[in-house]
Amino acid sequence: MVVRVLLKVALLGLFDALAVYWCVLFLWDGNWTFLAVTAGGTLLLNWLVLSSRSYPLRYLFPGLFFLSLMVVYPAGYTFYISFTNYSTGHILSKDEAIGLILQRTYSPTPSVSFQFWAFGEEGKLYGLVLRGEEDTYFLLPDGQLSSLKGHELTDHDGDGVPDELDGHPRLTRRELFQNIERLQTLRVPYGEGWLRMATLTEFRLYLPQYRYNPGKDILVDRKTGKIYRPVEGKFVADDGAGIDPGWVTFVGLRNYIRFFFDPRYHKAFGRVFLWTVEFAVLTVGLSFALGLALAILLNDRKLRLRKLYRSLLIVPYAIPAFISILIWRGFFNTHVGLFNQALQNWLGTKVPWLTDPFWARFSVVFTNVWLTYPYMMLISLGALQSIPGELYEAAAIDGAGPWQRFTRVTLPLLMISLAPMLIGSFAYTFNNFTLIWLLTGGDPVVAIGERAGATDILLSYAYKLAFQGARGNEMGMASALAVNIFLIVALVSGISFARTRMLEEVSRGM
Amino acid sequence: MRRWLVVTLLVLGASAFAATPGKLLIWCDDTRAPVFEEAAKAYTEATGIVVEVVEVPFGEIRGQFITAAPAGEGPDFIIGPHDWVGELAASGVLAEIQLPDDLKDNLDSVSLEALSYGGKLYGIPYAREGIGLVYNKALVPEPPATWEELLALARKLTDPTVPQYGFVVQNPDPYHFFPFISALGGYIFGKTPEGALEPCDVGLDNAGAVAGMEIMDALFEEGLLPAGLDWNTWTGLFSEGRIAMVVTGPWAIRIAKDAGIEVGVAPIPSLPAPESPWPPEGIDLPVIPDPAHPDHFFPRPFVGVQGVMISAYSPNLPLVEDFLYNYVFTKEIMLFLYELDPRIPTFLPTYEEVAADPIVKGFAESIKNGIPMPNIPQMSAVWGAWYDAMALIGNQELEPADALHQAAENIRETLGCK
Amino acid sequence: MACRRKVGFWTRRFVRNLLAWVAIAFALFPAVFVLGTSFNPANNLSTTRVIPRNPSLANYFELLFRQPFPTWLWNSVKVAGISSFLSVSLCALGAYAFSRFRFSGRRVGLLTLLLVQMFPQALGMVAIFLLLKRIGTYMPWLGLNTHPGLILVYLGGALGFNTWLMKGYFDTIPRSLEESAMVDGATPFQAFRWIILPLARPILAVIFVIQFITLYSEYLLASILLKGEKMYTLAVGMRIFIGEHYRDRWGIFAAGAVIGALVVLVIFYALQSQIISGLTGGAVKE
Repeated sequence: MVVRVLLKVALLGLFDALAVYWCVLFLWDGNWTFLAVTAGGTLLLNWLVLSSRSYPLRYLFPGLFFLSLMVVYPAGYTFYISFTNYSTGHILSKDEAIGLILQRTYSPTPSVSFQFWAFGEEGKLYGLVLRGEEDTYFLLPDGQLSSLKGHELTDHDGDGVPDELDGHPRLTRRELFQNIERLQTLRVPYGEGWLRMATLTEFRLYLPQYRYNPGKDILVDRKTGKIYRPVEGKFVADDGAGIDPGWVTFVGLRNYIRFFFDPRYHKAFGRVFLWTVEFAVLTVGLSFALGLALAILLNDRKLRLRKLYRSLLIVPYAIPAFISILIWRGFFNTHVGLFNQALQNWLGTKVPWLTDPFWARFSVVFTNVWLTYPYMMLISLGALQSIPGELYEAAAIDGAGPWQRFTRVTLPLLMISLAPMLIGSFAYTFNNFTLIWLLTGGDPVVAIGERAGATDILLSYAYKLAFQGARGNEMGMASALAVNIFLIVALVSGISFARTRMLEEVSRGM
Repeated sequence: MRRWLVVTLLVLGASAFAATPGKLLIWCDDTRAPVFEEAAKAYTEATGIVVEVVEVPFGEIRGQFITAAPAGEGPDFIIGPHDWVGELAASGVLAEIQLPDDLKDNLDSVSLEALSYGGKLYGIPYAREGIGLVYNKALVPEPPATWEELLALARKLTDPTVPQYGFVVQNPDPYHFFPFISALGGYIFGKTPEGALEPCDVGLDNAGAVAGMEIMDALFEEGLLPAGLDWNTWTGLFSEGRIAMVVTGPWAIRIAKDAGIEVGVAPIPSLPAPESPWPPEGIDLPVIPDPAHPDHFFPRPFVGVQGVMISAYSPNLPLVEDFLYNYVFTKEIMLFLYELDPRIPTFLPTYEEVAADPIVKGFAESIKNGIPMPNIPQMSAVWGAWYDAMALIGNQELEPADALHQAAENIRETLGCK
Repeated sequence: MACRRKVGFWTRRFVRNLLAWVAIAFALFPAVFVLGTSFNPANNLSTTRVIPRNPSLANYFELLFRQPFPTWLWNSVKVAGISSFLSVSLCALGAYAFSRFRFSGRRVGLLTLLLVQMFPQALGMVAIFLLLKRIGTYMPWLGLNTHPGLILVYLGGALGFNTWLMKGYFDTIPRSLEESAMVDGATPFQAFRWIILPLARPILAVIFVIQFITLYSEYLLASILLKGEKMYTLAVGMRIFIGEHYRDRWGIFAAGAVIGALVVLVIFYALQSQIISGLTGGAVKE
């Protein structure tokens, strides 16, 4: 016992030492978020280990730790994004955006340019000669510009191209390339701007295009004198012209308001919502019925080969979903699909599986049942193991038939552990973007310009609205939609909970 | 799903590969990568400058570039189609290009125009492409010279129970239907007197567009043209020799070759006008009459131009120009590019070299009357509604006039023209 | 009488087997086409015939010897295996607490677990990416493009729906067993480890299989966190074959799916006896 306590304290001490080390490191880097998380986490852990009141939490802590890090935190971040204008052209902070804009230059017209030659030995740069229309300069490799006076420039063959400078030969093309990195980054102050290498033979004058006035928070275009003011995360002039990039800024509830009040967004919402619920309920209901039936069938010890059967029945689950979805899509193909080929041969008819709204929905549910029932079978199989055989025997003695035994004994007992799984499965199906996207892409079209097709679910509809609109990728909008969808799913699930009286089961502690 | 990822990555602005001074960085898809690697090797040999070619999936280049470039994390240049130019240039991420005269004279002038936006050049074209009539030589020895011949041939060769089809067009798909919309006078955006595109002049529901789609609608109705025939379906059928004629582009040639199908390429025959004279009096439609057949008009497919676009944020502009002008736009490299990506070269010395190829010639002929796909950002408001209209026409749920009218109205509304 | 019972027995047996085979046919027939496509050198996704025109093993050969496929397979098995094992452990710990202890916030906690996991994860990826990027600056082995980092992310899903399933199972194990052990001086943890866990083996196996299969074919997170062919998992790597512009290689893709699915089937087959062991372990029941 003493050894255990000692061991516990020693391990905790070791962990704390490590945590302190990390904290110092984070402090050094000024990484406040990480510092707070580490310090808070360590304190929590100490409390967990040392306080007896927290005993149950010790079991939960490891799981909760990962849950908060990888699920709760990202969800919170999404929530935060939903109040911003995060989107194409608005992904930087304001300071970063201004920094980038201030780097912008322009070459004045008419341009001021200088032909240049570099001199030195064996690739080692001695200096450059810049020859403009009026002046010729000498430029040191470190960017210092001076007059050519006092330097000797010789042109041996008289072709107008100088060959030597102060006895240093002109660099060959290859030697020039060896110095290109340094030359390209040179910014030589000249007049109001600077000279910079523009081509392999020319330096040109560039002027900074914008001036930022921090007091007034405005940008001035030095070329045109136009004034830009910040409007919703972007500098915009009075005539509506804007400067990219913009930055991320809070827009309050705008993303939410747009969804609820802009007719373009909510026109199809009701229809899509209804279908999404239908889709999820049908999938879960049918696949659970099938999965449970198979689990019961295969739980029978009298059935030989049941081990093989079970393995074969799990196949749909073992193939990565995205390939089987594509295979099903092929089956449903109106022209060359297996189903229509068979129908054509036997009945001389064809069914518009993916182009008619009803059949497309049928196909979606059908495929999803195929994809989902092995999971249902597995969890049913697992839950069935917890039902004591004695219960069946007792029921059988009482004269209950197989069906009665199923509805009175098996099902109620199973539902205790499976109801949450079914609700979870419902939530998963509700957001099964992959299936819809790969099988139908939301098609068939219902009405022109409505964006949502007959099989679009809320999430795929949200995706189309946020990422396939005329305004690029609207992450803020997408996040707001995600939050809405989450609230809907949570609400629907909460209601189902109340219905199945799970809460009472939990509170009674079973 | 993939797009979802793209979106995420793009929002993160996370690209592990950023341009650095003194080293060139190129983003292109896997088709073009080997060519630029070849040119890069020569350049490194001659100058010692390292050129890195990073393969970025085609669908992700534009999105990643637009976010990565301003953050200083983009490449020096990218390879892409001309319809990116409007959005990229408007976002300020493309450098204006001033071509040396000798190179300019060696490039196809229509292609240069396609890569311009607001009167400035933002890309160097290397290939142009468009769709034409691709036919299986085993089923169609000689391409039909007229629309009537095409129909007769299609009727003879179609048997949906096999299934075998005489003439197909990928659908629902706005792009592949544009030649039929444009033939009798339909268009996307009209032009201002200065020649710039006018986004509020939407010509998708004019008399010409409706007349053209009526012809296609009749084919759907007759069961000649299968509705809902997507890329995967028809290429599968084509590979098995079950499609005689299809409206498609150079990108499908390779699939035919892989399957051992011998194909020919011809222009889509001119379409008959519903009434004479066409256009009806008092209406002005941009049509090109077929001199060989009275009252027939040439289909005008979209022309797409592939080009090199330079980042406005590249720290290596002098090197980029040197590399492109002297090591990429050469006859040999352009020929190599053509071999891997058999689109029609815009670099004229290379074009002359390959013009003897019947496939190149067929496509070049087909897009002779073509229209550059609009490269203004407003185009993104067009596709969705247009697609919807094509789908509903194909499924026989709406008449062409209604469908096109609703789509055009929707586009006008989205663009704020009403 | 005996004769009729015997007939009834045989009929029932026949019907049962028949039903099983009908279900298997339903389960397998799309898989049969994947198998067929995998032998098709023509690389198109044929859904009209099972046996391709010129069947060959070329796709398998290409996959196993010319592509980094074996590496992907190993990566997937490793990542999914370790994550699932840890997940099941964390899940069991949590479920034990919910099943055996009474503490304030227990009811709400259980519900919260369920609701939190309902958040559309696809949108939280941005945050996960940034988080891992920052962790990586301090601990490179746990950052972006590392398998431990990916495992770390997967562990976020350890507590959730499965905790409910496990708790439900724990609830059916009589408390008297642990109580008697604790009378003998065992701590609650020892009771958990040596009494509850062995009895709960079927459900542990079920949850392990569920987790393994889910993570084994997980695509979204893996594809944004892993870069470079050597690091890819199966799902991410295979996407190369069908992700490119107009150049889908269905044959190889299908061959990959076949091999990938076989691994899962083998693991499931091996674990099956664990799943049904609860049935025979009747001695533990009261």
